[in-house]
Amino acid sequence: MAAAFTFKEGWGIYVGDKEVYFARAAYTLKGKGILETIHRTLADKPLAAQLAETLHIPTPEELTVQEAAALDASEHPEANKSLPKPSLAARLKALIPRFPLLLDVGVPDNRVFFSMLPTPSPVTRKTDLQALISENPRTAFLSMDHLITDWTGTQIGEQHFAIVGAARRTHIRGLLQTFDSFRLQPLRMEPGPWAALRALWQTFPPLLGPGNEFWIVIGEKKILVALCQGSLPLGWQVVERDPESAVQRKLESILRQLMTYSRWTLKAPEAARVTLCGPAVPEQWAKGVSDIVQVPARSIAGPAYDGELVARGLALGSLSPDASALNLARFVQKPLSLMALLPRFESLVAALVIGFVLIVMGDRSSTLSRHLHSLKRENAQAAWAIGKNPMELDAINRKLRVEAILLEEYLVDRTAWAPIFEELSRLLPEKSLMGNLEAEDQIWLKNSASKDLGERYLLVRMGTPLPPNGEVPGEIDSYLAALRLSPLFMKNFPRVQLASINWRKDFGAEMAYAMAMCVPAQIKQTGELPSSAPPPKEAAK
Amino acid sequence: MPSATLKENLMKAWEGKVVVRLQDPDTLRITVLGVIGILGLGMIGLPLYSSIGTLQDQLSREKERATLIKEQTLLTTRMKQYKKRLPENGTLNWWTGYLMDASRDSGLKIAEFKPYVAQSARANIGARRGMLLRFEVVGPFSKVLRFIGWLENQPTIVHMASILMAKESLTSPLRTTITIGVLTDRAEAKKVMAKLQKEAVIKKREPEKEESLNASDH
Repeated sequence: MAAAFTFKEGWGIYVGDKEVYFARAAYTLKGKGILETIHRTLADKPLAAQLAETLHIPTPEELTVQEAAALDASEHPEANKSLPKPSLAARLKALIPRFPLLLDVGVPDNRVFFSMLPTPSPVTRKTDLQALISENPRTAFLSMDHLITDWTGTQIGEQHFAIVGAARRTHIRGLLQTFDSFRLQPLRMEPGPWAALRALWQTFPPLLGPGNEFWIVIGEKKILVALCQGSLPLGWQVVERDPESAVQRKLESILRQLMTYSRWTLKAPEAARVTLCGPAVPEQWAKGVSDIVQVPARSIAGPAYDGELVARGLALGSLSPDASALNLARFVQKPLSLMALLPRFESLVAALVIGFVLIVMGDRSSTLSRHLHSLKRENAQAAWAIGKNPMELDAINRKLRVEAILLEEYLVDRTAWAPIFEELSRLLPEKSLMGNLEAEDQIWLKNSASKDLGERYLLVRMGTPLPPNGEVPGEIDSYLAALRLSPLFMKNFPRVQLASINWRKDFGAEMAYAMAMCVPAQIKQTGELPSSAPPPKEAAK
Repeated sequence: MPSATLKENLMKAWEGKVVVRLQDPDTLRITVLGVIGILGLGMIGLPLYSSIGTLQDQLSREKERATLIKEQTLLTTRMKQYKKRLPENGTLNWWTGYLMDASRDSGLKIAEFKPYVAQSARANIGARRGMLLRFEVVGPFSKVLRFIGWLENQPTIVHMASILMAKESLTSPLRTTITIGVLTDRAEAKKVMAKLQKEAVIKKREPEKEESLNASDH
């Protein structure tokens, strides 16, 4: 299941003399790994046919004329001025590279020369390798025109080295032409043994730290003997397993050669470990090797040294184009097109995500803009408000609010006295008379006349003949009770109280005079100007 | 040409350093995604974000303005309705005439009439100023009641501030002192105030004159 999700895929293609091996590697949820390996024999079909069939790509003949023209036009615009212009769609289609993009091609061990040359300074791409080669008698033959070289640098102790690889120019060019006919561009053309070691190290990590390591990878027909420093090969030799009886002797001889080379040429530290790897490692080989190298040998049951192992290493290498490796086609191939390496899927996802975010933001912006526009248009209808900011408008409103409250206080919040006086008169007991009357609904006074009475009250003085027994006449209580029960008084002056009572002789008879005090439920004091009146309810909505 | 050399050098630098570095897919991926991010979010997103911020600010300001405009419209409408119930030309003379006519119709006689300019800050209502008119009417309770009822039910509103009914004796007529609050123009109120002050000064001087005349007689 984890292998179903691949993030980046790369192919390794090992083209041997009689067969071709394909390996497909990818980053999956489990990490970097090989997805499949395919083995084909060149005797059945030529390399081009094998490539087309295995990689599921159209053959050169299948490429449409227009696509080819578009490709030519985009690659050689000067030379193709006379040709009819291809359509934009065809041009764009031509830009899309043919699958697969990440392609590592291996060169067989018998076609590669590999060595290390000491250099006085660190090796860079600017190092004059030709001078270095010609000065060294062991590698002087590399300066021949029919060879193609690539190099990289390393350091052992204080000494700098150039790791040099070489192959026949015709072989490399031939391979490149084959791939080019499919519009394919290999990332690298690597020496096969290095790629085989890379594949092996994926499962069995190399020795890290000081000390070199011998790797003896046993194949069905060949045995690879490599001296490595960590994951960097310092030198290798390939032993043919024919005849089988001479293999152990050859192996020991090569080991000695490499030890001498390591000790005297590279001045590298002694080997710290020897690893023999293969489907079946003979015990006597391990013992023999251990005796020569003078370190214990470990035997591991691993893959055999063959084209498949090389292809696997190439596929893994294709996933790391920046890995330290030789590229024998470096100086004859076109630089790798950035367009071909473009992470299209990630770019598309990122562009879609960003596009979505931008669309949402744009929509929000346009909605806001629309609302703002309509609101501005609505506000512009109030011509008097044009150019006035909210603070100015609020100041005007505050003034208006106060004015409205005061006007309301004057016009609306007032007492209708006529019906109240009428009620007073109606409820007055028959024998009683009304004396003084004081009705107040004070307005615009600085302070209330009385804090007990507030700004609105009614004082009524009523007189009643005193009964012969001298008791308080019942009319007073009944009048007060009648006032309290009157709906008009309940609404305007629900609190009716007896304020005072006294006696006086009037009309030749003793009279009791009572003062009734009528006040509203809540006594309101004349206050100061309302400074921050609340806005009207309708406006608050 | 020097420019060609520069161009060549730049091209070489591009091919030699930048392109080689970008041939590492991880570097290329980060670069491409970075460029997409910078182009998308940096060059379009950020200005858009800032424009949204500005629009939101403007919108909230306009919303606030709309609320205030609505409130002001409402207040103005309410004020207009209130002002319809006030006399257009509410001068002191107009009010005096108004009250005289009303009392005459009710069969009452206005015995004393005195205006006051209200001192409270609450009497300052826009372009108008509150004034208190105190007058005394003499007549029976029923007529006074009718007079008060008439004043209260007129479309021109007056605020009955105080009503004081008293009889000196049971046989003497009912004297009712009424104080009403009315609204006049500020200019009119000012005029009345000046007139009242002048009268007060004259009143204060009269006893002094009399005293000085008495003294000269002696």
